[in-house]
Amino acid sequence: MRTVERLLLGIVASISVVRLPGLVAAEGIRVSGEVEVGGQPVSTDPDASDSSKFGKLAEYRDIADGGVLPSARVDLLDTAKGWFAEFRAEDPLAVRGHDPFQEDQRYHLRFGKFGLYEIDMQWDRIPHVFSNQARTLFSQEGDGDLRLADSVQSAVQTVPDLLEGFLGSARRFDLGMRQDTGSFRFRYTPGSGGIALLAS
Amino acid sequence: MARIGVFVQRVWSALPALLFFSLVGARVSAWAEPIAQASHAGSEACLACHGEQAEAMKETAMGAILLQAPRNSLEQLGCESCHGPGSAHVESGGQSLGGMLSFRADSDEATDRKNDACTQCHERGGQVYWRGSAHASANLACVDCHLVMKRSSDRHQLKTAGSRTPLTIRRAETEICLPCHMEQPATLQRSSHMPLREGKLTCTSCHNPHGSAGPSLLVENSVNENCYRCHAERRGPFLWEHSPARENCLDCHEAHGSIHAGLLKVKVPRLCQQCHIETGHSTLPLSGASRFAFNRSCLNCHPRYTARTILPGFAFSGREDPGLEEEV
Repeated sequence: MRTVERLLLGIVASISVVRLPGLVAAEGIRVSGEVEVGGQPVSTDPDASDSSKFGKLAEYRDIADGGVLPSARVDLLDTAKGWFAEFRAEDPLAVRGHDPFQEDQRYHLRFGKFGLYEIDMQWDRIPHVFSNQARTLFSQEGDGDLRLADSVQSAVQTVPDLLEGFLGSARRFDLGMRQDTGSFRFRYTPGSGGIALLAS
Repeated sequence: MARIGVFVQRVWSALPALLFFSLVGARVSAWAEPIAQASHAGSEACLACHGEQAEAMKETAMGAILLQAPRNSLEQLGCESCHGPGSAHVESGGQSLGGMLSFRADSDEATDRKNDACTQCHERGGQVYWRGSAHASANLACVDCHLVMKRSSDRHQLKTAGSRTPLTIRRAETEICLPCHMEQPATLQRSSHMPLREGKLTCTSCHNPHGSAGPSLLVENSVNENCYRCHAERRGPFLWEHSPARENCLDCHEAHGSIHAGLLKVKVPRLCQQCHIETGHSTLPLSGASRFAFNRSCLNCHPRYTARTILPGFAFSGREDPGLEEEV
């Protein structure tokens, strides 16, 4: 869980720390970037299970209450040699008590040499929350490990009519699905002088 | 004899039209003459006056290729690979275009001529169906959507840059389509909608604006193939097929947005009853409290797209039935 995000952000942060100062100083290379940070107060639906989710507005989004990092971008451009690199991060992080990685995050890394080749990598997470008022008697322990408390099991087996009462006080959770989409594209357009360009 | 008479009569009646087109043709040729006479002046001549534009263009992929790393004889022409020979323009001191191609919005240039400059290179891949496509037939120029001379959107050099607010994200690809396709902004505001306003999809996730082999400029060859790109679990094969769903997802769903859950065209059970009117409970008048109508209605018992490969039961998602399961 969260391995991809950690890996992506780790790679980008490492490259930024190790390579960016040198690239900024290098002649002919233009480095530009933008980081958007801020905060947003969110008036939540009191019936919602999760304070960050409120009805249809958050059906496909994770709208955090508090500090957010909505977008970040870094562009490298070497006009003399025709190299370029672009990194975009959208909704990667939020400052909150639980998991800081947002559910609707998106990363896009593209680099290459104009006219010769291009490598394009994307990672997009699309949440789809059907209901934020679903209830369950199960408790989640770890990823996908659902457990029913022994006390609940024995009580319901003894007196089945108790089930209705249990459901009334059962844990609320967001019923939905999430699509994690990753793509990798390599495009090579050598033209007539491509081999020479690749070597340059 | 009578036939010869008819022939002569037809030629005589067509004579004014023939004369008119001959004169217009001669006039157009004379008008176009400077274009034929102009030769390539080289990009250096252009940069003397248009240096600022060239610097801005170098930050784009096209600028970097044409002005710095051309790969073939056409690209070596630099500015003139798109704008045409510029010697006459240079000789006039920039006072006349000299037959050069202008892509400006206020240019009187024919759309075909503008587009031909682009399709010299951009005629493969996603643009392979451009000629004869809906947008080409509507006389749309490439530069109506794309900006060439400076860096604009994140990708595809679109004229729009997209917009972002805490509640909505509109990507450049979506922004460029909506001003013409005015019905879609309204449908996307419906409660059940494709996540375009959340920025998770763009129009080009499903449509290829440059043309396609399928209907409605869809990226894939059919509606269903297009839907399966994301909704892969609907592809099947299924043991019990719901034939209308196999035929076309749009038999039941609205593609862009609907006021009914799940992008359905009509609320269930009315949606199902449009076809299932033969016998049994589907034809009965149903009260809101009926188990056939409450909550998800027909879908309470019947799976949404009828079928799983392993679960038993014609028309049912099937509660586990040990007997049938063993049979399967």
